[in-house]
Amino acid sequence: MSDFLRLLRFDLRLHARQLTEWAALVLFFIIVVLLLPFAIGPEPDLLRRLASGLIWLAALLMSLLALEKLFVTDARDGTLDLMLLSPLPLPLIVFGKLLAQIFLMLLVLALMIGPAALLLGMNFSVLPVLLASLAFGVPVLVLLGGIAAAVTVGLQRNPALLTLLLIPFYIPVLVFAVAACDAALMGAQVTPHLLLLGAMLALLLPVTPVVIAVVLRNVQE
Amino acid sequence: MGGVLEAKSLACRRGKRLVFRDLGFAVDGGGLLLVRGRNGSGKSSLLRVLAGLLPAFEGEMFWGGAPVRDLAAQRARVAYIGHCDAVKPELTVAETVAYWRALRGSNPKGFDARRENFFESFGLEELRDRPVRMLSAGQKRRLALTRLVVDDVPLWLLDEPATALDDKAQTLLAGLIAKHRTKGGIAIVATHQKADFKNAQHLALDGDNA
Repeated sequence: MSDFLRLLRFDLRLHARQLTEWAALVLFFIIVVLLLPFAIGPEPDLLRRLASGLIWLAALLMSLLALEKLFVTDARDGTLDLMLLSPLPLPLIVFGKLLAQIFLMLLVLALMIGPAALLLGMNFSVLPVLLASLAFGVPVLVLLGGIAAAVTVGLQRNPALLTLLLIPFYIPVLVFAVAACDAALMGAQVTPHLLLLGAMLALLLPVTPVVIAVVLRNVQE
Repeated sequence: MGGVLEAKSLACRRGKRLVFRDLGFAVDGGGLLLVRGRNGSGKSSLLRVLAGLLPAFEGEMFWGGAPVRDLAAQRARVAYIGHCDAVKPELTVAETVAYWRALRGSNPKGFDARRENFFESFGLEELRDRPVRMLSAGQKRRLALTRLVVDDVPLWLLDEPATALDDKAQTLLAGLIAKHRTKGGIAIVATHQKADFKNAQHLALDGDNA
């Protein structure tokens, strides 16, 4: 356990020092949130109704951008070899990397949700549900993205393929998350949608690190 | 520390290309094998197969006379220096060593970088708090070499380890290898350089092995 925590600390430290990359993600999120009202029209009622969906879309696109480098950097600088040679279980090392990524993405989103909600005139009664859907949904995005990032790592740099692989799997997450927010807006039951997101997370959390470890070992061949 | 590393009829395939085949050698504990060959002849692939990073397409490896079936066990006995230095520009020199140690798991040998004048012996004392992004290529390579000492393992696999090293650092590397050999360890070095190592075995990969 202490080995895992030590590695997690290093992963968090590495992320924390990649400030320009995180700043780029924040900027990307802001640009998407700013541009979408121009695309769909500036009517306040329409924006208020679509706000949670637009925020989720921006978060999803941001995660695509963030996950692109998840294992490619390690492969390029040789760290992946050390990960593969480590006597520690590879899924444990991978889990640390995923957890650090999840933590920092949630942190960025937590900082950006307020301004984005204000900008889009979101009904603040939806905010708790939006936050809950992000808390369940973003880890699912990272876990699914981790698998795709591991698959594409052998191709060195291919963000287009990563996106292509991921979008079909991201759609259910987006659907359930936005459905939960819409239900909150209409005063309907939100629990079933959140539970579905929770179930996805519960299913993926133990399995994904193992799958990624297998992919990373084989992609070397 | 000793052990004998033996390879019999080893072959490696990358994609559709057979990189080498029918490769055989044996290195006793305390031995040094210099692997030479032109670019693309399979030196790096051979080291990766021996490290357990790549599966052998054909043939078998033996450690201490027993066939290596468990690649995890093989990986645990290997220190590998590849083409890349495996350094993160965001970390300092001292943090990088700590990160590598963390990747090797707990520290059964009780290694302590502070106690053993570790950085000083690699000429990195003044650089220990400097971010890796500010190091030269040679300094990064010297930092990579510290991995050989951080973990006390019997099999060193070094892929062009002297790249970017100055004369002093090359002497340091030769000293490290000599010390490792006296302890009974095995070093396998892929190199283009005509390094002067005593009692070294030679393996030529000239493309005819494929």
